[in-house]
Amino acid sequence: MQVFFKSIERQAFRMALFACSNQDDALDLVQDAMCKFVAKYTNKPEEEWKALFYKILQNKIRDFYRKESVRSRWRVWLGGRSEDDDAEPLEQLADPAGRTPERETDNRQMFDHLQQELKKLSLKQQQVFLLRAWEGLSVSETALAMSCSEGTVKTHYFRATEKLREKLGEHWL
Amino acid sequence: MNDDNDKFTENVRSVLNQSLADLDTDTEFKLGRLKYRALDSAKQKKKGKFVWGAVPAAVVLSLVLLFNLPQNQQIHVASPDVFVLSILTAEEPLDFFAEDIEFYEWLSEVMEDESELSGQHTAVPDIPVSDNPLSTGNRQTGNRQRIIAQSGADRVSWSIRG
Repeated sequence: MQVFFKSIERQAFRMALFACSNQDDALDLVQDAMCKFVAKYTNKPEEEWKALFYKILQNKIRDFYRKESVRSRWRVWLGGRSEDDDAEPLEQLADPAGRTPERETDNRQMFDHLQQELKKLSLKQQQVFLLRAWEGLSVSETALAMSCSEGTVKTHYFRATEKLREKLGEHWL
Repeated sequence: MNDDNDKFTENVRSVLNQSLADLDTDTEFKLGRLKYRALDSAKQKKKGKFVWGAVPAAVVLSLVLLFNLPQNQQIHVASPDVFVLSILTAEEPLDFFAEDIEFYEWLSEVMEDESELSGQHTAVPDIPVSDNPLSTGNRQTGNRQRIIAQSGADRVSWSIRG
């Protein structure tokens, strides 16, 4: 269990940070997810741990967004809608805190650019893209983690990839 | 298109992996700490479950003992081993029962037979005084035999008891 947590803790933190844009909130989300995972899923087969852990983390992120949406309801409902077909407000919510690059290295600039564009995606598109492209989860595992159908995963992943390719430019290809 | 997608995804993955190395030590430390906290919380929950599980188990066990123990005691009381008790409570030393018990049993039986025979002699009806002028002497003879048999039995009993 400890080795498993060691292998995913930093990615989980990054994904939570992409979602909530606050380091302390991201740490809290990861800790809550770890506690719940230890309490509920330690008896599951080890090959399922990754998808199950990210399922918990995604639920925590969704809960966090719900609380945030209650706090800033007017801002959410009065904010401009994107061209996405999904009508769920949480999916339409773009990250409000856009950070500007502080370091001068190329990698850092690329990461900051990617981070900015990832934050502009809807939460579902962002998390589906990270789970599929970064964590390497399969379509079915991503669907389990996101609590949605495989078709929805494919749709969100395709749209996220298209948007990022369009925004990040040719030098990423 | 697929090749472009693969290359694009590979680049994104590479940049994201490099970003992990850029995590500051404070964040790394906090991540390590919350990981151990999560693992500790699981251990504490297990301990709590054990304690809360032990309470009803103890109650059930005490109830079972409470209702079953008297019955068991009654069973023991109903079937005492009289022979063992008689040995343990006897005045004779335990060596007596371990060594020559058969000889003393035989001797005791012989003496009992002798005493019974002596009793039969005495059981012979005495001749009436009026019919026999020596009746007083016969009665005295029967009493003497009875006393002798009794003293013999006492001697054997004394020798048995040491």
